[in-house]
Amino acid sequence: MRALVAEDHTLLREGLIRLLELNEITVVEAVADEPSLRRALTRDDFDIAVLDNRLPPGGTDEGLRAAVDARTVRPTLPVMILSQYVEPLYARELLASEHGAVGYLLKDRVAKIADFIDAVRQVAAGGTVMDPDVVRRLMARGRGGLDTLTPRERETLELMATGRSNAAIAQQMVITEKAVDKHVASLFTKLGLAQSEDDNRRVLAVLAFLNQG
Amino acid sequence: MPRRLSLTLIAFVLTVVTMLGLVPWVLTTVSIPLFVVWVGMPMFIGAIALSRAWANAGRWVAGRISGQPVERPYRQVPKGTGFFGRIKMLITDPATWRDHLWILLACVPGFALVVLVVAMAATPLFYLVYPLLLAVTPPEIFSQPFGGLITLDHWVDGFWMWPIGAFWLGLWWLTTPGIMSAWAIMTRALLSPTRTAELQGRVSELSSSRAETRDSAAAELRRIERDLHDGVQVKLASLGMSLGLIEQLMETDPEKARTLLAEASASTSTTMQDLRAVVRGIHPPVLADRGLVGAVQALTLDLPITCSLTVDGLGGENGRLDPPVESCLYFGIAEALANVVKHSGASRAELSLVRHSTSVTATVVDNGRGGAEPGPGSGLAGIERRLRAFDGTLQLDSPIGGPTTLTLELPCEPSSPRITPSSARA
Repeated sequence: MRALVAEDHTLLREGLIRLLELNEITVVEAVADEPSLRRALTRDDFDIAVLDNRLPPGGTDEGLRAAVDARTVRPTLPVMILSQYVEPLYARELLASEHGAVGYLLKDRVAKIADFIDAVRQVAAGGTVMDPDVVRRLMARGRGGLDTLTPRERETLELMATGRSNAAIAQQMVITEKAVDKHVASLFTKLGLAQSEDDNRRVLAVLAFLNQG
Repeated sequence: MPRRLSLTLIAFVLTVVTMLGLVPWVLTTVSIPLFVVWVGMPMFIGAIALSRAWANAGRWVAGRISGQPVERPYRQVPKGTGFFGRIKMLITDPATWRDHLWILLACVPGFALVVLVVAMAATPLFYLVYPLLLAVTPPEIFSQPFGGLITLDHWVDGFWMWPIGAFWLGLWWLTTPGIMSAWAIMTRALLSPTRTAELQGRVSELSSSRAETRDSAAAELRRIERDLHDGVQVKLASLGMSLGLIEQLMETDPEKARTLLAEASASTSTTMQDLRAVVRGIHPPVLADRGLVGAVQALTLDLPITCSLTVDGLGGENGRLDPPVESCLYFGIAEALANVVKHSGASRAELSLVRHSTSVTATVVDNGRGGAEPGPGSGLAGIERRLRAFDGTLQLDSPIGGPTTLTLELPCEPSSPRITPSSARA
């Protein structure tokens, strides 16, 4: 697998490259600012872009904006945004294209290397990985159009939003994978997501979760 | 014409009542020597109240004439001022003496002006009926209008007076607005706040808001220091200890070292969380990224109740305000919304952000139980303090039973005129 990396702090950039390379992900290019990121995003030889949200010269949310812009041209371009803070608003913007292949994680999640690499691979494969913090904040609102879901289905949806597979969800909730399958099928029906390719429905379900209210 | 007529009416009323102003003037003058027998003091307070009411009437009239209200210059008497303190404040307030000077001037040159207007208006009427007067009265009364200069023998001769009446009518027409504005200018000069009084008021306003700003800035720094000291610093110290321990255990008990390492790794994550909370309290990153509108949108997304957002005049390129204004308004809105969630019991709220030419307002309306009060130490008082540092104001309308409307207004740099209204909903 090949990755594009954008991170302005040298230490973190080198760390990220080392970490990816150790896990057999080749870094095709590592950039440190917005203009070079925008140029690099037009390459077509990488499977995922791992981007810092905040980049020079502006020092605001250039990484996110560059990713959103790149995805208007190539809607399925897999993007993993890393940030020092997460906002549900940004998660919503990233997923607006409804094509999945989006990850949005706090930078410190990288410390759990196995989980992080797993998330990167999932996003590269078209999955959606939202930071547990985003999910927690959305849950704290405790309202919205997901009222019809049972607590177990809600929990399933939350874990789904953080990018877990059915097997992982089963393990986390201490139930059988078959039971998870049932919850998933039921919540898809309740959210009005017709039979289609499973991955895309997972994205739409997460999107419904982000857009609740 | 209607304007001149109404000015003449005002002049007429002033002619009749102006001298009444001498009553409070005399009362004040008499009360001062009577201070020695005490009774002068309550009398003085009463006389000043009368003279102020009289001067306020004068302000109102001058405001009507010039079309621009005349402000009241009186110093505010602080709450809890005693009897003697009140007398001292009244005596030392220059406005008291300017009022009395005005009463005198209104009675002499002022009176001359208004009588002049009334006379110029009355003269044409008098000459208009002159033939009639000649006809119905005995000949010697009106036959010599200019002291024997001419003699009018027959009532028809009375028509010779009409051109003179027309002359006075013309003069009345030409000069009335000028004369009445002269009266208004004189009144404004004496009764509106002097530049010094205005500046004094501004200075005391500024020094109290500066003191509040300084106090709240100091409290804020203390809070940040405490958050860092009790949170991040403690966690980093314990992390350092764990790492030291791990170094020791690596040789002797690798298994234990591995457990500690996992704990240390988890600890960095919670430390980061603490640090993020501190940073959000100082300056929310989303405010830096997206400005006020984006940050407020993110804020409404985080609320446990439904909150709609309407924005007018703040979108697009020239939509950013000064960063300090944005920050002040953001924290004000955050506090207001937190109050809605905590106290109102509302199920939904509406937030609108509107940019006017020289100010920006944020209005929060909720459907809660109402009855909110801006007591000291409440969230509302905190918002008000924040706003005052920028000359902003807070308006609360919260009847029992709701709905509650809270309006935050801040002055800002004039914006370029808007061509198309922009609005966004979240």
